Amino acid sequence: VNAVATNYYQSVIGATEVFLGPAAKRFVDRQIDFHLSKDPETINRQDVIRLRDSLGVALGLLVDDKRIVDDAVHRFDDIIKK
Amino acid sequence: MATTKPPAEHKLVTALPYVGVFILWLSSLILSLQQTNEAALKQYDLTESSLHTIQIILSFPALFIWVTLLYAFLSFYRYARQIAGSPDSPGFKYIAWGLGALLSSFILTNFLRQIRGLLAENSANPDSIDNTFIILTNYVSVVAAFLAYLWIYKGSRSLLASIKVNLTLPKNMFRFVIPFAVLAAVYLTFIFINPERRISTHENINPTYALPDLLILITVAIPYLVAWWFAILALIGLYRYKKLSTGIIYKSLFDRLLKGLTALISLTIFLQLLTQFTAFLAQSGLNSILGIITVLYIVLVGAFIAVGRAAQQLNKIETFKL
Repeated sequence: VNAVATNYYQSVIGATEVFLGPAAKRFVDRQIDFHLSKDPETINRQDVIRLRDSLGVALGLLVDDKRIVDDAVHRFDDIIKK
Repeated sequence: MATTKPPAEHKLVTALPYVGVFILWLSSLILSLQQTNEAALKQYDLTESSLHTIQIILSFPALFIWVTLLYAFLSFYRYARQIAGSPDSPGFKYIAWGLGALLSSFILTNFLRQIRGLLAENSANPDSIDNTFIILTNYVSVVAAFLAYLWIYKGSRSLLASIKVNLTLPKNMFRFVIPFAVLAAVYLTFIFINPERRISTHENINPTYALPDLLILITVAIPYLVAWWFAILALIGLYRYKKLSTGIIYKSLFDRLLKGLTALISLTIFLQLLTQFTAFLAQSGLNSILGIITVLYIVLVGAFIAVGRAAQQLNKIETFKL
C-alpha cells in the first residue's frame, strides 16, 4: 500500500514540477499538509483528486493562461486514471 | 486564494525597515540643510530659503532610490527565508545580500557627502577634510560594489549548484570579453584624462579621487573592474540557471526577475562609472551627462520595483494555501 502511495506522491510531484520547477515539492507538501493533514508518502487516489482541484485553482491564480491550467489538470487526471 | 493574511503586528514589523530608511533620508536632508553653502549662494545668486527648497526637492530622488532598493532587497530576502532549507535558498540569499550592499552604499555615500560638506564649512583646513572624505566615499563605493557583485555572482553559482550544474564560461565568451574590454578602456581613459583626479584646479570642483595615480589604479579602478567582471559572470550564471531549470511558471517568473536584475546591474555599473566623473564632465561642458544620470536613476527605480515584484511573485507560490 505504501509503495502505491509513494508512487502517487512522486507522480504528483513530477506533474507539478513541469509547472513549478524547484518550487514543486514545497508546494505539494504544503498543500498536502494544509488540506489532507497527512504524511505525503501516504496519499491515495482520492487525495490526488483533491490536489488536482487545488493545484488547478492555484495555477489559474498564478498565471493568466488557461492552457497551462488545463495541461496541469490533464496530467493529474492521467495519474488518477493510472 | 488564501495566502495567509499577515496580522497587524506583522505589518508593523514589515513597515519598520521602510520607516528606518525614511528616518535616514530625513537625517541626511537635515545635515544638508545645516550647510550654509556660501559658494552656491554666490554663484547662482540664490537666497538661503530658495537654496533650501532646491535641496529638499533634489533629495527626493535619493528617497525613491533607497525605498525601492529596500523593497527589492526585502522581497528577495523574504523569498530566501521562505524557502529556507531548500537547495535554491542560499542562492537567493546571496543575491539579497548583494542588493543590501548596494543599498548600504547608496545610503553611506550620501551621508559621507553631507558630513563632508558640514565639517569642511566649519574647518580651518577644509581641503584636508574634503580630501579625506572624498577618499573615504570612493572606498565605501568600491568596497560595496565589489561585495554586491561578488555576492550576486556567488548567488548565481549557488543556484546553478542547486540543479547540479557548474558555472562554466560559455564558448562564445568573446561576446562578453570584448564589451568588457571596451568598458575598461573607456573607464581607464576617463580616469586619466580627468585633470581633477588628484588635485582640483577649480575653486568649486573637488578632486575626483584625491589620490596618487598608482593608488587610483590599484585601489579604485582595478577593484571596480574586477567587481564589474563578477557582475557579468553573475548574469551569465543566472541566464544559464533560467535555461536549465524546470517549471513553465517558475521559469517565467524567474525570467521577470532576471530581466529586472540585468537592468539593475547594468544601470548600477553605468552609474558607478558616470558618477565618478560628474564634476569633470560638467566642467568640460558636458552638462547633458547630468540629465542622462537623472534619467538613469529613474529607470533604476523601475528596475528595483520590477525585481521586487518578481521576487514577491515567486514568494506567492510558496505561501499559497487554497
